[in-house]
Amino acid sequence: MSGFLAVLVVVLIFIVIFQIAKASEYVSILKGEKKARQQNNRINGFLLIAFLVLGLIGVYYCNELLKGKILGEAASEQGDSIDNMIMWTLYITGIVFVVTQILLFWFAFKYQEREGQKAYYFPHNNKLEVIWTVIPAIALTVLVAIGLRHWFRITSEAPKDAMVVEITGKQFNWLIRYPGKDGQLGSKFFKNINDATNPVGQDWDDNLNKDDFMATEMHLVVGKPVKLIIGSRDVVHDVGLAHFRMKMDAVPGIPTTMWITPKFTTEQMKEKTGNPDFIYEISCDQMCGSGHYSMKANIVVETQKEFDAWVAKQKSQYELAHASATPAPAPQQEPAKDTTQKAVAAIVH
Amino acid sequence: MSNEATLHSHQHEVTHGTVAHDDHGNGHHEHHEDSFISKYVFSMDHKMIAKQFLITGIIWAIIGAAFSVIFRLQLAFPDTSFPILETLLGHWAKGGRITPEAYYALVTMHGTILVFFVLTAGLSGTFSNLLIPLQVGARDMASPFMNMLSYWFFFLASLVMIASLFVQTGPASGGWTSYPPLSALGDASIGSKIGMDLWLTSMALFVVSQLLGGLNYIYYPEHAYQGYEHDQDTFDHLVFLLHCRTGCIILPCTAVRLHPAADGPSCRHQLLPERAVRSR
Repeated sequence: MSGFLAVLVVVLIFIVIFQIAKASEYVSILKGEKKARQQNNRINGFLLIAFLVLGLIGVYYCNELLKGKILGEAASEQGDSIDNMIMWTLYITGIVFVVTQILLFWFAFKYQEREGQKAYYFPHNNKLEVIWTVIPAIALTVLVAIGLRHWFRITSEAPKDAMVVEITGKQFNWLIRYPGKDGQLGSKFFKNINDATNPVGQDWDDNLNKDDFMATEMHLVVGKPVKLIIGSRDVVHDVGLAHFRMKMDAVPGIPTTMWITPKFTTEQMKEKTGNPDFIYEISCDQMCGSGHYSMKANIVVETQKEFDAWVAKQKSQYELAHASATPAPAPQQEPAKDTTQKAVAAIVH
Repeated sequence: MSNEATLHSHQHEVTHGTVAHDDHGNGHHEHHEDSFISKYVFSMDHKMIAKQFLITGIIWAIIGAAFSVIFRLQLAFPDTSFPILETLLGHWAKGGRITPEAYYALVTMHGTILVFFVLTAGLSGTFSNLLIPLQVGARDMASPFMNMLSYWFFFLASLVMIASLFVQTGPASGGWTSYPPLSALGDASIGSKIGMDLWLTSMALFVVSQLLGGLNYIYYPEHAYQGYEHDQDTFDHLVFLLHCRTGCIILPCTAVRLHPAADGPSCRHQLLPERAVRSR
C-alpha cells in the first residue's frame, strides 16, 4: 500500500511539474515570446549570481566545518613532502577555481540579453590563445614534476640502513614476513603455499628462509627507513597507509616496493591525536572482493629497543611449520581454503 | 549558418513538438511521409537519434542515481537497518542491511552506468548528434544509417547491462575499472561470474556503438579542415564542440581497451608462476 502511495506521489509530482511548464509556456505566448525570453534571461542571470555567492560560501563553510576531521599531521618524513605537494596543488588550483567561477557566473549575468545590446563576435585572438595555453601548461608541468620527484624517491632503492619487510595481500588479509637475523628474505614459490604452515610459499631448501618469521602486525622502528616489498597471492590489492600518506598496489606476480621513514611512535601519536586507542592502520585501497572492507592490518611504530625485544620473541616460520608438521600431519593435507589459488592452478594445467 | 539561425530553427522545432503536436515537426527537411517505425524507432534523423540517446541516457541516469542513493544510505548509517532495502533488493539486503557483495555490485554498476551510459552515450550521443549537423549547416550526419546503428548498438548494450542486474549471482562487482584477476576469476568474486560476462558483452556492444557514432562525429570536422577554411565562423563553432567531443569519446574507449591490456601482464604472470612468483 505504502509502495503504491509512493508511486502515486512521484506521478503527481511529475504531473505538477509538467503542468507548470505548460502554463508558463502559455503565458509566454500571451505575453509575446521576446518579452518572456528577456524576463527569463533576467531571472536566470540573478540565479546564476546567487548560485555563485551561495556556492562560494558553501565551499568556505564546508572547509571550516570539516577542518578537524581530516587525518592531521603526516607520520612519515615522505608524508610531509606529500602533504606539502598537496597544499601547493590546492593553492594553485584553488586560485584558478575561485577566479574562473567568479568570471563564469559574473559574465553570464553581465552580458545577459538586453534591449539594444548586441553580442560582439570575437572569433580569434592568437595572443589570448597563447596565454591561456602556456600558463596552464607551465603550472601543470611544475605540478607533475613535483609529483614525479616524490614518486621516484618513494619507489627508488631504499637507503642502505633500511629494514626490509615483505607484505603479501590475499583475500582477505595481509601476510607480513620479516627477514630475521640475516636481514635477507628467502625465496618462495607459489606451489609451496599452504595456509596452515606456509602462507606465502617459502622454499624450505633455501637457507635464507630458516630465520624468516611471519607476524600478525607490522612492527617498525621510529626514525628508521623501512622498505616494503609488496606482493599478492590472488587478486590486485593495495597497501594503503593513510597516516604515512602512502599507498602502493599489491599485484600478483609483480613485486612492488616503496620505502618510508616513520616519524612518530604509536605512543607519540596517541598523545598527538588525544586518542588513547590510536592505531596505525594498513587498509586495502583496491577493490578486491567481498571482504575488501575488512582487509586491515595494524602497524606498531616503536623504539629500536622495544622492536628488538619484540623480534626476540618471534619464532621463525620454518620452526613453526616443522614443529606442527611432526605431531599433526593432518592440516597439511587439507586443501587451501583460498579458492582463487585453486582456480589459478586449474587454468595453468 | 549563423548562430542566430541555428538558435531559432531549434526553438521553432521545440515549440512545434510540445505545444502544437504537429506531425511535421521535423519539416525542415524534404517532406516525405515517414512511417511510425522509421520516424520514431529506426530513425535516421540526427535530431530524433539525439532524442533517443537523451531519453535512454536519462533513464540510465535515474537508475545510476538510485543505486548511489541506496549504497550511500548504507555508507552514511552503517549501524541502521532499512527494511525498505530488503523490499527492494531481497536477499541482497537481508534484515535491511546491504551485503558486502551487493554493496560492491551497486558501486560498480553506479560507476559503469554513470561513466559509460550517462556521460559518454547520454551526453555525447545527445549533443554531438544534435549540434554537429546544425553547426556545420548540414542536413544530417555524414552517415545517418551508421548513426542509427550507433544508437541501436547502445540500446543493445543497455539491454545486456540491465539483464546483468537480474542474474542470480548478481552483476559485476569488481569496480567499474574491472581489473583482472578479480574480474577474470569467478572464484575470486561472485560478481565475476555471469555478471562479469554480461558486463563485458555489454561493453563490447557499447564500444561498437561509440565507434560508429564517433566516425560520424569526426567526419565533418575533417571536411571542415579541407573545404571550409574560408568559413571561420563554422570552423570556430566546431573546434569548441569537437575538442570536448573528441576527449569524451576517445578517453573512455581507450580506457576500456587499455585497462585489460595494461593489466594483462600481471594476469599472465600469474598464469606463468615459475617465472614470476619465484623472484625472491
